[in-house]
Amino acid sequence: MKAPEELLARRAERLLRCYPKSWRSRYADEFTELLIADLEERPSSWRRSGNVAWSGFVARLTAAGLTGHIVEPSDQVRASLASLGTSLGVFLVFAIAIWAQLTVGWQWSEPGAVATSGAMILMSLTMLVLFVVAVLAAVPIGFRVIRSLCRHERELLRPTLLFLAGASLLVVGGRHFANGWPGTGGHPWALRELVPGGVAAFA
Amino acid sequence: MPGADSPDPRSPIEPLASLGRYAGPATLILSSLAQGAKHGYALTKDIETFAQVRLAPGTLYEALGRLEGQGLIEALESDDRRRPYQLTATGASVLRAHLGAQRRVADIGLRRLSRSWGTT
Repeated sequence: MKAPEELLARRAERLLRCYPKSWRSRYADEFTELLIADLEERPSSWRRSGNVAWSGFVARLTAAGLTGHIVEPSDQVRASLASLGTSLGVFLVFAIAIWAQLTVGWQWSEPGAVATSGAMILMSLTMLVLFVVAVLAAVPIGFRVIRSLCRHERELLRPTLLFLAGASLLVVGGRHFANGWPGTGGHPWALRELVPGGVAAFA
Repeated sequence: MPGADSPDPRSPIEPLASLGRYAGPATLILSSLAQGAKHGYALTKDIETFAQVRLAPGTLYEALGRLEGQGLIEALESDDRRRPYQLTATGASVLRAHLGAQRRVADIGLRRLSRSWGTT
């Protein structure tokens, strides 16, 4: 059976994992000591666990440069990659879902009015501009990542793998669902009633 | 023209206001460190004693990080794993200005209360 001190230390270390590595390298020792003292005093506290989890989440956002604080130069590439991945994910999920709903509606009928044709062209051009902006943002980061990987530096390996996994999921999902991503109202998911038609159909 | 119980419009801008939702914990931490250097757990216990507020560990260290980043406190070297923090000269003057502003608000509130609601 493990000594109580060892169990407390293990619980404190588990809570400490909520924080990013850069934060842990600075505060790990003292924060662990505080957690152990707190755990001794209050062995069970959902408020403490929730507080530490939330603070760790905020610290991770800060380390990724997403809370408006200046990021350390050594962490800037990692932060850029995280920001790019997050922005791209949010953009692809929401913007393309809306775009898909509109195109699903348009593909079954000829544009009946000049305004509809104009809206389609404008939206397609907007998508193109956003794509170019995304590529321009990605080029310097991609260059840095490739250079880092060629030099066998492991610093950016994990975020790169995570980014590639997310991108692969989107590509495979795109191939599989085609115009029928759940929630877009497109064929064939809506027809199979996996998504309620009234909710899925945009118009 | 401001009345006798109106706040002075020339009051200094409160530096702690830039800490947003951490302004409250920051005030408590700086007030505790005004007594002398303390490590995390000692800070928690001291604040619990004088303010009847228990700062959760995550909140405490978020506020400590921000205060240290602003140069209001500094970490001291320690042989122990528990690193103590102490107030800097800037931190002391910021705390003095902040508490002065708080006291003016408290004085005005108490004066108005006693005028309208009497003393109990």
